[in-house]
Amino acid sequence: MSKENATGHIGDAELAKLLEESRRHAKSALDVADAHPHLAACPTCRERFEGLVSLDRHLKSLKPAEFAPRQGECPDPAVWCEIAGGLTPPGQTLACIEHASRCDYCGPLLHAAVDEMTDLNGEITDEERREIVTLESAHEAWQQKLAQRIAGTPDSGLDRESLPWWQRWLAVPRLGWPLAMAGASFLAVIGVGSWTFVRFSDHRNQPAAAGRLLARAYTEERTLELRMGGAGYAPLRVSLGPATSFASRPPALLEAEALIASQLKSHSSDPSWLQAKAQADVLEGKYDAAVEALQHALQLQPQSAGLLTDLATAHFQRGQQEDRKADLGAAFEYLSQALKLQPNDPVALFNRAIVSEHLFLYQQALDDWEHYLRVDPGSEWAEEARNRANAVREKLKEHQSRATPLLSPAQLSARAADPSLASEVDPRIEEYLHDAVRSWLPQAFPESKAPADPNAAQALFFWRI
Amino acid sequence: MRYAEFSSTELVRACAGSRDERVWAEFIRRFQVVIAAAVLRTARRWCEPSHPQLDDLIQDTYLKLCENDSHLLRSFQPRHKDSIYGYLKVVAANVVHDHFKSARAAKRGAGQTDAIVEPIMEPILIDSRRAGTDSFDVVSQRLQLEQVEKILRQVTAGKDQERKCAIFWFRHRQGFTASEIASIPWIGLTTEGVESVLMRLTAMIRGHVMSSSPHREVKAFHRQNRSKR
Repeated sequence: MSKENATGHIGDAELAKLLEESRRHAKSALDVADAHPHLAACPTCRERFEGLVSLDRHLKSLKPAEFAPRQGECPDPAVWCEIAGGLTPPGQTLACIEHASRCDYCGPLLHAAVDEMTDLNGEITDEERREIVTLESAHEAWQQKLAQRIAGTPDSGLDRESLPWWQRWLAVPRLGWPLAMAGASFLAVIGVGSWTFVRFSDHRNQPAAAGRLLARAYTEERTLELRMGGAGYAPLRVSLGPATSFASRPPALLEAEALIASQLKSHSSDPSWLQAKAQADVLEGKYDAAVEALQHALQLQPQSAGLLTDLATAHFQRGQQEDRKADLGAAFEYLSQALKLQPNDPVALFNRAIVSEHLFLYQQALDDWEHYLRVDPGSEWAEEARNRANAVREKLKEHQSRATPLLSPAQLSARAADPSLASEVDPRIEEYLHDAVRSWLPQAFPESKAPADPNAAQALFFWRI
Repeated sequence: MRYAEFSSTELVRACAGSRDERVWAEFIRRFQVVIAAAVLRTARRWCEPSHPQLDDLIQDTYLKLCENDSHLLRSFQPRHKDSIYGYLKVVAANVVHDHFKSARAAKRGAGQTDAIVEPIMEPILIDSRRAGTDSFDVVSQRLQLEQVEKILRQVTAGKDQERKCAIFWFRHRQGFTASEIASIPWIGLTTEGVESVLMRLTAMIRGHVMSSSPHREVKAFHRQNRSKR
């Protein structure tokens, strides 16, 4: 869709995007301009765009044509990874960045470091996670041994109560050294063997097992409007308040909670367990705890679409329970981030459509429902999506039929103290936002020497737009 | 002490120079996934690593962090809440690169054929350069660079000049994409922000060129570009 500015011409942001697109895909200015509805029709914008593309092409020839040798003033190559990771002090960073941007030896090194850091910061895939948990270093015994080595304490100084029973038993002096050795060895072989087997299979299977139980609990008694990843369809049940008795909870939830509680002590920094805990918290109505656990998990595993989607759900539920608009906004934001990572994720699309409805962003909601139905046209969830999309269409139609003009900035400013104003504006907030960005903002802060409109500035201020 | 309740920054401070096994056990437990993932990804840039090899590299990363009386941990300065994660990733990546570089050097020294190829990051360094050209082109290109730098300095004079110039050169001289530039934390802009700065700079340079076209330098700039085509 073409985004024009207040003067009716294409805005800078869109022009920048088109320029980037033309550069990235090596498209000619003519191809891009012909394909764009506004550029195809507006000679002024077209000329501006073609001029920019032409200069951009000239500038491309500035790239160096041959290897550059390392110069005396080039910094230590190790610094580029630190700069790409944001770890150097600002003063040092500025000097290095200025150098790298103009140095044909260091620039490519920084380019490679940026590429590497982007790769390292990417979400850990399921395949990588499986590989990591099967490593020896994922086991507590390995970690304990390394901690002892680093601390230089081969005889553990740990609190004995915190050790497993078999370690405490082995540490106790027994009568008859050979007998004790044989017994200890036998027990150690059996104990360590079973422990390794159990740990190995636990590590691989248990977060997934907890996830399956939680998904079953969700479907057995769906009390959330939003979807939970991996859960099958169930119609929404209206809950009359949080479940107070454990007996009223789905058995699968109780089972999942027991499993999570037993594992979280030893895996408190494992994003999969933190996510499972948070999902259980959401099903229990403990939204603060869920938000906290998911934020911790996101620190450990940034850019995880699944974690972002669950965090959005926790915010949404809290926002609904406590009537906090900021939580709904946060939910929308996290889902948008998740969709940036996985644009066709059905759960995130479904959930954002619902969150948008609650924020009165009906056009956005309809766009998401339509996108959802293209991704998942045939499931039971799709039926619910279709019904909701139709309801949103009705609302939009109703809005359009009302056709009452929006209040002007002057009218809004005049009625700023009127308590009924919010209820008048809220249902059409999307239209007001659109107007604010398109008209009020340029009127309040004109780029040219035209006088600024104080009413527009006041309207923007009062409505925090 | 309940180290499990320490924030990551507190834990790093507690570990620096410590001989307490419990604090190290917590450190290793807490950062295991981050370090293991960074080791795994970096090692895969060189080869398909075995599990024992990965375990060794993970251990080497922890040992690196505590060598020289935990010099690396002591020198760590948190720039934001999560910067320890980035720091550990960088340390882990450096440990892995050092390992494979010395393995390769040892093999070369022993006259063996390289079984380990260059990491995937290095072709970027090669791809970003084209075949060498004659010295006339090199001199002509340098002149152009100087002219553009001069114009750029003029049009960006004022606030944020260094950042704008760096963004411009990263794009046009180093071939970064807008999202790559935006991923450098110091730049502090989104991809859209970088795209916008680049567009405005291109427009300003164009405006400058158009308004002062009789100027000798600009004429020369155009001439050189034409002669290259």
